[in-house]
Amino acid sequence: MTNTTTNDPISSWLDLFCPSLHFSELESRSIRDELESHLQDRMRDLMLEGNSESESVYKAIHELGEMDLLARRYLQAEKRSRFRRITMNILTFGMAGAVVVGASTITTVGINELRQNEKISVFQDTRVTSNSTAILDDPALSVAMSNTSVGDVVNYLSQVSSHAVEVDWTEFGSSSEQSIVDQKISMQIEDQPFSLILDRLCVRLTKLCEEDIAWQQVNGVFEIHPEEHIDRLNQVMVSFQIEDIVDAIDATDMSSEDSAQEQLLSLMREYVEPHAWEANGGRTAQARIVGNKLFIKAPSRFLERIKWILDELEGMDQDSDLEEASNQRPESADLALAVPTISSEVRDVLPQECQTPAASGLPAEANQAALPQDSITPVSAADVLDAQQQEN
Amino acid sequence: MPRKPKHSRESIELVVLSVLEDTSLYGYQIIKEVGAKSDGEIRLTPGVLYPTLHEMEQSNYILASWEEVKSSRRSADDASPGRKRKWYRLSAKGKRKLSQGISAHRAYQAMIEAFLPSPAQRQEAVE
Repeated sequence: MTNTTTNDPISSWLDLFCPSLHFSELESRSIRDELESHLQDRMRDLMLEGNSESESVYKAIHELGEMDLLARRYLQAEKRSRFRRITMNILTFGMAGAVVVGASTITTVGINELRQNEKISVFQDTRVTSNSTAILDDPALSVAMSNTSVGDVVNYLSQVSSHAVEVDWTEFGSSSEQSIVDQKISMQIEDQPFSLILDRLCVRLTKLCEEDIAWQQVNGVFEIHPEEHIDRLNQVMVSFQIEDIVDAIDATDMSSEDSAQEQLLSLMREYVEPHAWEANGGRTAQARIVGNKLFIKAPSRFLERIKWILDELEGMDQDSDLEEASNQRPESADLALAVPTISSEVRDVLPQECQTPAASGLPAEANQAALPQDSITPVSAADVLDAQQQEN
Repeated sequence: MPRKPKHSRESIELVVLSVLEDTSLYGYQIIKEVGAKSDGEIRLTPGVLYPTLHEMEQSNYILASWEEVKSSRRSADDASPGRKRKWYRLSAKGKRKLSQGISAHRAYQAMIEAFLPSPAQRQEAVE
């Protein structure tokens, strides 16, 4: 990828920048080509405004900002888009499957994705019984039972699905004097996945027990428990680096009396299963901030939402700045490369070249004349330089 | 002089989706178009725009295609590859996102507006 024209300042700058992205070669190449094209277009316009070649190259590169910051923005953009895709997949799975989800499969996938994030560290106790495989054999079944005891319904489901369904009835309270296993329910379901039928059963049990009931699949066995029990079995410990998030909260004008750390904890405890947090009187989730790390011990099914909140907070300030944030001075090592010797190859890119796209391979709407010059007011380099602010 | 508001990532995405609604543009054109449409009030810097375009493309809100641009100064028999220019256009998902973004923005504006005094009321307060 290294450009062989070593005395071309644009290429030199890109040769320094692209490796810092740590993207695939294809993506890095794409970003390099795009930025190179931008720099050449910008340099052209600056020269047309009367700047010298050397000034134009310097200003064009300077407008991109600090190299590290630009790389960080690309990395964050990549993470956010990846998280969007993961979230969409998880939501799609959840909607297709169940009202109350068999948490182990999804959260195992989610945890693996989180582990790839350099700012997140995940510890999962090996004794936690989570099934790492997809829900096994989710046959379509029909259930037609009227006024049947819960115990008989569970036995029936076990038989027709050819799966073991285990319930420890001593875990369940009851809203009436009668034991839960003897209480009568009705279920009329036709040709639906087994997982959906279990969801419906859990909804009915939740009503009878007056606490949330859920199921999970562990090593091929379907278990029905109070949801809190499942959550405790699926607890993980996670740490998040939150330095950027704290900075982002502090940088915004929120006029809050609480510290950034307190705001972060409050937000998380309010929006992610509030009843579960120890600070709210719950029993399955704890959180604490030490230094620049947030430590969480919580059911793994909470993590996607926590991660989403942290991503939203992190993006709150950095991405809010449309004006250039860096005030790098020309003495810095990377910008020093922008002070040329300008080679004749730089002159080659000065156009009168086409502003209309080539016909091949482009959508019809791209085959149009360039935007009328009188409708475009180029932003002068002087204005940009005057408007620069320190980032973060 | 009132401080210029900071623009959220969502606002930037909405602006980019908006300028791509009726046409395809490449990055540098997007910067110019945004500046022109806002009379210079919004300066979309390349350090913000290009990562945003990367994210939007990865999220399938916009589609990209490449054009090879050759300098007119090169000789006709110069077969070396020209530089590449990346054009963007809205995807179907991007069009939906734009529509939703506009609705949400207008609803938010209307909500805030309800709390603010009218110009006449403000004038009375001043007097």
